[in-house]
Amino acid sequence: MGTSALQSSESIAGAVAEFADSEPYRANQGPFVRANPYHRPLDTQRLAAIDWSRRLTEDQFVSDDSLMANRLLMNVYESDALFLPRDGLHGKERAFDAFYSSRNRLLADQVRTTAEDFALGFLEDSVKVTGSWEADATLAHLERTIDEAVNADRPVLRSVETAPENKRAAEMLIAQMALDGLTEATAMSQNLGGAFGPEQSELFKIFIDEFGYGVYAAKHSTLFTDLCASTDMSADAHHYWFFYLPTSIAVNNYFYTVTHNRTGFFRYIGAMALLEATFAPWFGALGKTLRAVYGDSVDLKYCDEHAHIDQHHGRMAVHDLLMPLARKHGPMAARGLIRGVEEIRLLGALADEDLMAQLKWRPTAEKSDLSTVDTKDVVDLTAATPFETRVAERDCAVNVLSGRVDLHWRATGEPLTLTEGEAVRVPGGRLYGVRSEVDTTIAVSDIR
Amino acid sequence: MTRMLRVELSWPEQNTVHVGDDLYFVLAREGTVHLIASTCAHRGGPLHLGEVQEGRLRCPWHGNSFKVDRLCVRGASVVQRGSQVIAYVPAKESAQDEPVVAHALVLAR
Repeated sequence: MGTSALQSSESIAGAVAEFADSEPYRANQGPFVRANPYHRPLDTQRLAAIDWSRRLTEDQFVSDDSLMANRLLMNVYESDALFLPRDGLHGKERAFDAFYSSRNRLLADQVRTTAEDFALGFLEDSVKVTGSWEADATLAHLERTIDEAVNADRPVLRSVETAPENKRAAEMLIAQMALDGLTEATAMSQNLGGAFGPEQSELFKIFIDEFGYGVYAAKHSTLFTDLCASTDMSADAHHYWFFYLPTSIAVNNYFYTVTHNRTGFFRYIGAMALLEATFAPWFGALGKTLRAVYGDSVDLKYCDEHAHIDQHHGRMAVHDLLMPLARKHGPMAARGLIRGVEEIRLLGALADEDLMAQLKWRPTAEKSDLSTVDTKDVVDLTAATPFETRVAERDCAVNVLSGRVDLHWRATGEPLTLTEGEAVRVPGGRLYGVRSEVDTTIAVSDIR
Repeated sequence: MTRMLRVELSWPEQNTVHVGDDLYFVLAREGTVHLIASTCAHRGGPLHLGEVQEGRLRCPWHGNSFKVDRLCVRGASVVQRGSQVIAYVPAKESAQDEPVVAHALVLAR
């Protein structure tokens, strides 16, 4: 690494540290962030340990570095969008000012491209699109890809339906969906400006459907709020902050990345078109799954609306937006469009695997094996210790040496309580957090 | 009129595609697959048996040479995920040929 690159890396680390240490990103006491859209905890120590001069590989996509980088990146993007508390700003005026402060916006701009490259740069290596993509090849590939996606099995929904606690599993899925559901089409809105011909108007048609034609009750994010309320889940932005999986955040970040950067426009249209073209049957199936899990009590307007309108959006996105762009702007644009299709397909598959592994994991208390405990792994917890979740880098055990600790690994439901002498195994790649109400000592040891 | 034929290769085990009398070969650059038509524009020589020197592919028959960058940009439409390669190659609308993938001697690399 050259001197200038090292300086650059150091200056990025400095900007990340200052950004993460500011008021909006400070620690939280409990497992849920309550009614404050400006509070998004970032662990400064774990961020400081990241080497920003490299990028994650596909194999490292489910990792703690990925979780931290994607949390950071989401805050960078979302501090560029307007959030107001549902019950008004009273008492949160300072948090509002801090979240949108000029200094933080400046720092966000400084770290953005590095964080994007770190978190999502692996797509460049994992997906390669070459050759001359004329319109006929573009359409052939798109139609085949859509057909495969529409007719594929839906293992995530099967995992939810067959989970022993299927409501908790459904709620973990809904918590991941909240990343986009509560701010739906915000990334899309970033390309409504400018001047790019008839395709701009086609994009706007899709956008106004997403926004319910100016009727708040019909806005897709409102329909998502209704779904949350009917399952007794919070509809406050990022209430479930600690329970977003790294891959779920990354999928959401991807859409901000390719819309924030104008050169990502064609990738965005490709990715968006694939999703819009496959959403109608997916949401139809999701509605059936949620009905089977919750019965009549669940509000499925969100699923029903998507199952209907995305039949149109799929056709519009492919034939009125993507293909005209491919024909008009040539092979370079077409390569971008196809790249977007392939990138979101890969990200979606990785996110599905991550979520299914989290749903499959059923932590249970067992007797602690103290022979595996190293003194360097010992951590003291008190009721005042901030809550955090992390991704286990490898199979490990959380051992309770004294006191009592709650293990959190899902968005809703009771945690697993462990007492002195007990331990729980955490498989590598799984998200978990611990919280204690009494003075407690734990040790997190690798399982060899 | 042409139609696009979809073909799937497991690279590097499979490095050529035959469609009727047409041959396409894989030219890999830093792990990235490009699928190039092997027929030389001059007299139809086998470009896959040519040599790459200083960024140009030289046809083994009469020595005509072509910029590799340009051949790649004009290559068949390819999506690559690791060793899995999906490509679209043109065929005449009336032709009945289906693409066949194979491993062949390719000297152009």
